[in-house]
Amino acid sequence: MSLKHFLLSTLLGGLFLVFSSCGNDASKGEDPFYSDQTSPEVNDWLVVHQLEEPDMLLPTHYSTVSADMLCTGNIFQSLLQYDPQTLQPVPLLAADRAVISEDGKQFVFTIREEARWDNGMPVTAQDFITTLKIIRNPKVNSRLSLYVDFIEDVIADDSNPKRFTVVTANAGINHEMNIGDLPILPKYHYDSKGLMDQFTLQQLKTEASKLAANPDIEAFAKDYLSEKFRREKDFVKGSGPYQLSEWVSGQQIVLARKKDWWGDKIKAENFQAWPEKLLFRIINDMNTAILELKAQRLDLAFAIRPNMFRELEKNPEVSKNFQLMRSDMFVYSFVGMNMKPGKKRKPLFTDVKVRKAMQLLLNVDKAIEEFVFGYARRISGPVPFLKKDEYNASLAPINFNADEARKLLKEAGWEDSNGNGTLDKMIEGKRVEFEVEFAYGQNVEVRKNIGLMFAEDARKAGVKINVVGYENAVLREKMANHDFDMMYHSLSAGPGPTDLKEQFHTDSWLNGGFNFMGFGNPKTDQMLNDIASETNPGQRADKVKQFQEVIYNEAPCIFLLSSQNLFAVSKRIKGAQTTVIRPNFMLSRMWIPKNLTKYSGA
Amino acid sequence: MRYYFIRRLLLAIPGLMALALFSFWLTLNMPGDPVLTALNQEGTRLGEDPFNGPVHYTAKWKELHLNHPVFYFSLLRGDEVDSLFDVPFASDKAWVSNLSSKSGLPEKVMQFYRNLSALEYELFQQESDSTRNALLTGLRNLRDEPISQLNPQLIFLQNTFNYPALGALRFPGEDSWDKTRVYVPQLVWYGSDNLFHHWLVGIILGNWGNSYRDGRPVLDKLPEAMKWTVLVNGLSLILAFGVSIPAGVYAARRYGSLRERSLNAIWFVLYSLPSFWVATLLILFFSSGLVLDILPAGGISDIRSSEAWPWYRRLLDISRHLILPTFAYAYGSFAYLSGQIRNSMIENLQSDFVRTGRAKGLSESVLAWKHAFRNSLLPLITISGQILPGLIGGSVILETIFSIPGMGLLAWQALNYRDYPLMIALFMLSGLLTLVGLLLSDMLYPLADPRIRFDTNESGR
Repeated sequence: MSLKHFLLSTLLGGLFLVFSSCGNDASKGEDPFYSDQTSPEVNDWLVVHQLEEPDMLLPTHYSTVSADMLCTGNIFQSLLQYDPQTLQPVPLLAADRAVISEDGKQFVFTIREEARWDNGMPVTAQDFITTLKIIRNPKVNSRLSLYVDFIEDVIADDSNPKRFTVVTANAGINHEMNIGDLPILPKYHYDSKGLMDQFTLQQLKTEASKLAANPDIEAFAKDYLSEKFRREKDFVKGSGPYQLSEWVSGQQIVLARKKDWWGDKIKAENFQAWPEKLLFRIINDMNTAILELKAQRLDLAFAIRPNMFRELEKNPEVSKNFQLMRSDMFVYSFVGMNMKPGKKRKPLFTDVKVRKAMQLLLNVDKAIEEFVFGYARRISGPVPFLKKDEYNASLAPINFNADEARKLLKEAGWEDSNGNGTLDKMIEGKRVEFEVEFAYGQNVEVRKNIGLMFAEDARKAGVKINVVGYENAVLREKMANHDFDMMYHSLSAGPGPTDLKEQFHTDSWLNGGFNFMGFGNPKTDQMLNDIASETNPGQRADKVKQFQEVIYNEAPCIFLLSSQNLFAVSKRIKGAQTTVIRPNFMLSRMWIPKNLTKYSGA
Repeated sequence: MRYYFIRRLLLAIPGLMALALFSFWLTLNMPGDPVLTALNQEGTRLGEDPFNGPVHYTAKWKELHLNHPVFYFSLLRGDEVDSLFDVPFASDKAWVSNLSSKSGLPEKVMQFYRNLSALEYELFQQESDSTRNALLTGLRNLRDEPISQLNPQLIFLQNTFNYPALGALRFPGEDSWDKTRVYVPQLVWYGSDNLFHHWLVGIILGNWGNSYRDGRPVLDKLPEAMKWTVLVNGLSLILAFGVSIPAGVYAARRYGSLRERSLNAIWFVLYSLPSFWVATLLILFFSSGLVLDILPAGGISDIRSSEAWPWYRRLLDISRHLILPTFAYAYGSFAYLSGQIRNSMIENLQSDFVRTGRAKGLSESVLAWKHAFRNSLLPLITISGQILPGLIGGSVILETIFSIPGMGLLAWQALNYRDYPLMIALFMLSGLLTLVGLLLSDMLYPLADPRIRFDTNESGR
């Protein structure tokens, strides 16, 4: 029976594979990826994996890494950007960095002479002003509106249409970059009817709720948020080197290099854009993506899971064809403890000794070694170690020490008085057992494993921890309502000066923000306010260091790790470099030597 | 028969309505807060300075129209609040209804809550300082207090902070509580300004809403995903029947032989293999280059495919991409389908009319295919009716592994992102197809077996 034979051979083949796939020797011969070409040129395609399809390509709205990677610097540009290596601001659309007034409240920017939109029109101050107006349009509901609140006004220079002054409400250490980082949209395209012209920036800021009912505001928002500007080929337009050339739902998104791009005249590093096309292939399953990578149908895969990356590193066939790279990120994970449980939860973590005991019971080094295979850095506080001047290196990570933890718990009055193996204590006349819940976001295996290991170690010290996975939507609700005992969470930051208010100010507890632990008092709030208003970089860094010490002593969370972005780049791609700025590599600066091209002309 | 079908169709309407109601109720009661999910989706971090969470939360809550009653009316206990829909936070909803059922004063409790939240709203819009924050914390903690402690706490806060608006904020005293209202049910009429009504009118007028995730109309997204799922499922159905029918008939004719038994064994081995494993194995075997590299691993077309390609080249390209998924979808049903056919064939082959045919000298294959097989079609028709909704259901796992942007993946994403308009549309569609599928299989029965009729006098069912 031919079918039977077919099925049998498939099965046997599968078994054969299981046994044979590990032991493939690299074939001999010369390096297939050798090229004597040393200077890059525009050619070929770069095929990049995307695990999830971006929701839209509207730079005032998208929030996903995938959309950010596609757009930022490729389709849209901003005045300034962070240099991927030095992390210092460098000019992009602006001719130079801003000229800042003495009081630190006025920022003069001049846009590059060469800068042009696709229709040949120059990029001017009016484009910047209109972009800000769009962000502030109350019906557009841009996530960026939060970040431009400090801007009072923008004054265009009458004598030079490319020059303008941004006036801010106060002086701030990162104002220049907060302005410089905004994506700039072409006014002629996104507001072709000039609907936003009649409103001033101040009006949009102070009278937002009144203006929401204005028919022009609504008409503009409706058009701006329509599908065409979100995802259609001739409508997603910026000043960057690439334009959207194809979006096949669930399959791929293709960006094509503009033929006569204005930036080609500029010889700066951040104006390099070599691949003729950037093709983002959407593969929702990481296992399939890895197989496609191995078959060399992907040039680059990123955010590879630690266990998979480990396998790739061990596979000689893969290291023959790929450069395996990793990059540190501004991301950190921690376990928050509920310090203000109200009457919803047991008041276990109101005592600093108990919190410190928890820190001693979680064996972070072991977790990093066993569950992340070492592809992460140990952290001891909320400031990324990458920020050398702000990072307080004197605070050593807390090492696992069950005895010390037991001692602290005893000092805090926790003892196993009823002999059931779990510590207990009389609180307000009631015997309370030390039994807590460790909540984590479902589907994240690493978090679950860390929780289980923690529970196992804590059990020996008489602390009962129940590890419970929740769906993300439920976890968010628990966080906003402060309805948890311990919660695993991770946060990301940018390369700019660290803002700790978001995680540690009491405002953020009230607002349902990331201070879900309930840390803080008027004194720490004052410290955070001081940091926010400090404009001297050195003094600010000192204050940030001081605050880290407070956090270290108060122990509102168990600081765990800062994971690394793990990625593989085909060896036919040259010029691949890592950077700590997300997405941790620079697609447009990668290039393909002539003899290794694969797709051009197809 | 026509009368029967008209009756069935008419009966389908209340069925659909019930389904609509149920799916609507289900989506509203999913765990997790839809407002927080939507905020997270658009990248807004609550609590971010200088932003204030509740103010923004309430704005989003209104934007999602969640400040409307759910249905035309509601039947409540006398001590329940009839305007609970006007309370934004889920935790506050629980608090308000708890206070109301304890005091039996729903209107006054709601008034108390409105005053409290107006005060909080006012405070949230003020400049942040330690006094404001302490007062806000105090007000927030009221929710954890036992009902008897509300007024003492409020008086304490007023004495501490001396904030004028606090003076008027009091919970009705225990002497005014009404313990009898719980026994008097109330029927509240909300009129047509309710979520269900707006949604239903939209559905009827062809406005199925926009996806929360990317703002695209649901009616644009559905066909896009459906075409791929229908294609892959259709092909795998053809494969499944194409393999199972001959195999089932063969097994019935060789019933009891070694070949029949070994074929059976193979079907059951296949049946017991998990599809995600087989799918990965197929990719590993046919497209990873480790053994063979002859078929693409996923997607539905080559990355280089373009509109400029001639139609046959594109067809070939898509076909190549669909070979592995089609097999992965189909293999699991070989055992079930061929087993069904085999059993009913065995029964028919042993029946009198076959024996008569054999006595008349008809060949075995004519007996099997022409006489017994037609009679064995009934279970297949039943199965086909059930398959229709499955045809658009898609498989989350297989679509993920093979990167097919079909219905399974769409449903999965809709659930993950709490994309209500999309979720309800998917529910409705699969319900509709179940009804149509059942109707279709009813229509096919008389074609396969003329003895079955749906006349009113001699109703077959």
